[in-house]
Amino acid sequence: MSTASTPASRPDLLNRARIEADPFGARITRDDFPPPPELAGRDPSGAPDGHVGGLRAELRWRDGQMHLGRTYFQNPVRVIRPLTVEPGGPSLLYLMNMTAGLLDGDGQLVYLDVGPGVRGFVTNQSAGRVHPCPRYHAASRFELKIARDSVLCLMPGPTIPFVGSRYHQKTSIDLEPGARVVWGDVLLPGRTRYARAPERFVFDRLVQELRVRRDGRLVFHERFAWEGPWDEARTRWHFGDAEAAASLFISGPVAPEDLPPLPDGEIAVQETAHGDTCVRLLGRDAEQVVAASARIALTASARLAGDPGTWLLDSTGLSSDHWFSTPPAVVSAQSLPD
Amino acid sequence: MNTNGKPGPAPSPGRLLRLVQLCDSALPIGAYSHSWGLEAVVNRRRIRGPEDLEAWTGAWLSESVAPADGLIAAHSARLAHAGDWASLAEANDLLTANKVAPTLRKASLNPGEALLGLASGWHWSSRASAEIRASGGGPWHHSVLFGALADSAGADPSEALALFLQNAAVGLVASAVRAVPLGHTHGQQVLAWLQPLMLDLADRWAHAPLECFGGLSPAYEVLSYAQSQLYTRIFQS
Repeated sequence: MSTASTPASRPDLLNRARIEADPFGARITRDDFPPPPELAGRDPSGAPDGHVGGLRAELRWRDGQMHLGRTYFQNPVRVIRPLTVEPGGPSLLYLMNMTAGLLDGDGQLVYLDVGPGVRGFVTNQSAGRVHPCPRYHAASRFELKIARDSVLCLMPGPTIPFVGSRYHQKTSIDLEPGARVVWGDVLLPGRTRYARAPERFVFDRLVQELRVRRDGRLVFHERFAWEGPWDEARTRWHFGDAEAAASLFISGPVAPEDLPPLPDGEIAVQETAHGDTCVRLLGRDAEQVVAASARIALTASARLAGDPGTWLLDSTGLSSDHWFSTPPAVVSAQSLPD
Repeated sequence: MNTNGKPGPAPSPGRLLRLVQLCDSALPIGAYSHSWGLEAVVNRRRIRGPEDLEAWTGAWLSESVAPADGLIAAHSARLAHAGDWASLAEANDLLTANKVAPTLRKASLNPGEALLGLASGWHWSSRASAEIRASGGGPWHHSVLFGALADSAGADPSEALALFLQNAAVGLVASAVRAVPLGHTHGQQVLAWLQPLMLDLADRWAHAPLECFGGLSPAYEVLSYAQSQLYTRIFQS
């Protein structure tokens, strides 16, 4: 019996045809999360279908703010109306996961079709906790299509891999000529302050990949497949003596004056072969790394959009208790003389 | 026999001579001017002797070289064997998009282009070199060229990868001999210590799918950047 004729695969084929016909009307299924070779033996196809969800949405710019166009979301991911803090400023779109994080067998897809002229920041409401995965793995997939004259900043929020977690994050970004994007990942060692048993780099497997294409041409690629738990040597190789790492892809330059200080840390700003910028941050204080990476991302977004200052962070209209806000302790540390 | 103990290409003195020529550390491709970030490590006093060097080189080969340039070298040997020059150019583009640090990109492209220029004039590799030039790709990375030329020399993908890793280790150790500094005897001892690891890595990565390409290490990239910011430096990378 061929694979295509098995009862289980027929609905998948039908679903794929539905997605092609109407990407905003079809269910998100296991087919949307092909495991990487490193996790092929942990394929969650046996996990309940309820573990799979996500969002497919059009983001459109109208009347000076971002709006949701055609939108489909599936539990546990929810989305609310974009928030515009200041007239003429960028909009903020929160992706909300209604569960405690990513559990064994979970798959979450975010597909955004960003129309011309959009200026927005898209993020999760908190850090992404990846729970232990005794049988399968958890997966996140981001697919962004960004039209000309748009500037989209997307930072999913810090990833915290718990002990024994297996996680695959795959991101594909397609830029039309003239489209701009800022993508940011932050990776933390684990539940370092978990009272019962503090965790530090004791995940089972992390696979993360990012591809950016401009006008169909591959302009940026990064991938790692880390096998844990790490011993001291492997930790030193990948993180040095840091407790947090962040990576930003910015489709444009970054001015040195836009880099905040990072006490007890290092920032590397490097121009890619295709004229974009990759920023890596490493630091001993995770809070400082999170704050610095968010500030660089949102300042770069403002520069790319031709806006003054930094998107959202210094606004009086937005409370300062978001994960990407600059905590008071960090503000005072950044103000200390050298 | 190839690295995994299975029958490989038939042994022949001509094949060995071609591979020895390809792997010669004295090839004038500019590799001697690169340290692949090691200069910054030495500057931070993290490598003081042969044991430190063996540990650092082993991590470099395992975590950064084998899953990236190493995998591409084996893949390129396979593509060259099949005469699939268009896919070889795509693999080269993938490397270009992946090499973030300008210094490491330069350390890959300059020797690659120089090797292509040299190989164009060698009787055993001129045909492959002409096909590569005609494909319209480039500038070419060293690992792509190394893999394709290793095929011309008669190596299979597993051997191409093992030799590429050896070639990379020789370059790094040679830079350590100058930067640490270390004696040549210690340098050769480190290379001997690393051989079992290189054979293991060749077995693991020679047949890995291209989908697995990538060996990002944030700390290594930050180090490569730090090397480019040193007040005085003797290496380009």
